[in-house]
Amino acid sequence: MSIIKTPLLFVGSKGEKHLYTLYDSGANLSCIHPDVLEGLESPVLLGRPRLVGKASEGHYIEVSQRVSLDFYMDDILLSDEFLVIPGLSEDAIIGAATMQKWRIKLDFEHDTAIVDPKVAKMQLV
Amino acid sequence: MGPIYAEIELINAGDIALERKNYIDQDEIKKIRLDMLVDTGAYNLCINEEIQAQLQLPFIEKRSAYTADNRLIEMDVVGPVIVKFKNRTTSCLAMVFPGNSEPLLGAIPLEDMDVLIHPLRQELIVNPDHPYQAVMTLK
Repeated sequence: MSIIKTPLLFVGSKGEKHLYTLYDSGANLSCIHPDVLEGLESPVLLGRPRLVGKASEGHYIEVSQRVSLDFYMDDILLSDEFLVIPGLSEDAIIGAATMQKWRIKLDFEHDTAIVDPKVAKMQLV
Repeated sequence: MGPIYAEIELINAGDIALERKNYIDQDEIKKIRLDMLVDTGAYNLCINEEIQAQLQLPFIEKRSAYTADNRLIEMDVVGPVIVKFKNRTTSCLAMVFPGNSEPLLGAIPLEDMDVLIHPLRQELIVNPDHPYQAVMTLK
């Protein structure tokens, strides 16, 4: 009930892992915990560190790395960039931009997230 | 692409009870209309001290909560508060952030109002499968 958190298969150049992933419309961008990147993918440094605001006014987390990852929802391949957030409360967070990019629909009644396979179809037309 | 906001009305539920018993007039019911961040990563309704000062919701208890960076913070829980969005209504308790922090509409009131985030427009909508009233699962 309520928040939607599911195990997703993440795939990087070093390997793949199932990570418990929170669907969080309150987060602009998707995020990942640095500890889960071992054996998955190497992060790259941001040109300049960013300050990411937290829920409580005046509190920020400094972010200096990002990583590009593929992930699977219902066997559908999706991909996006994730900010690497030290001390993140979850393994990974799918933020609002990723949800909009892939038109991910949250179903609170069944505690699940749904992606339309037509949206994820790869094409170069 | 970015955060999703919805126009929400918050009403002091205790004031509504007082108005029904004719202890106060309808125009004395404390209410506020505001744009709230729709936050499916938060469980509860979260308001800030400025909103709490306007609504004057009764204190219920202290509760601890984990923040995004896994810090445990202690917050006041107040309420009950009535939450209104379009033709949907729910009542719940609210956690109070310090100062003028961003108010959050969390997953529990979202689920209770049977509302959805439109996957393309990224805006809060009434569940199109149940447009006239919220439908719940009781079992």
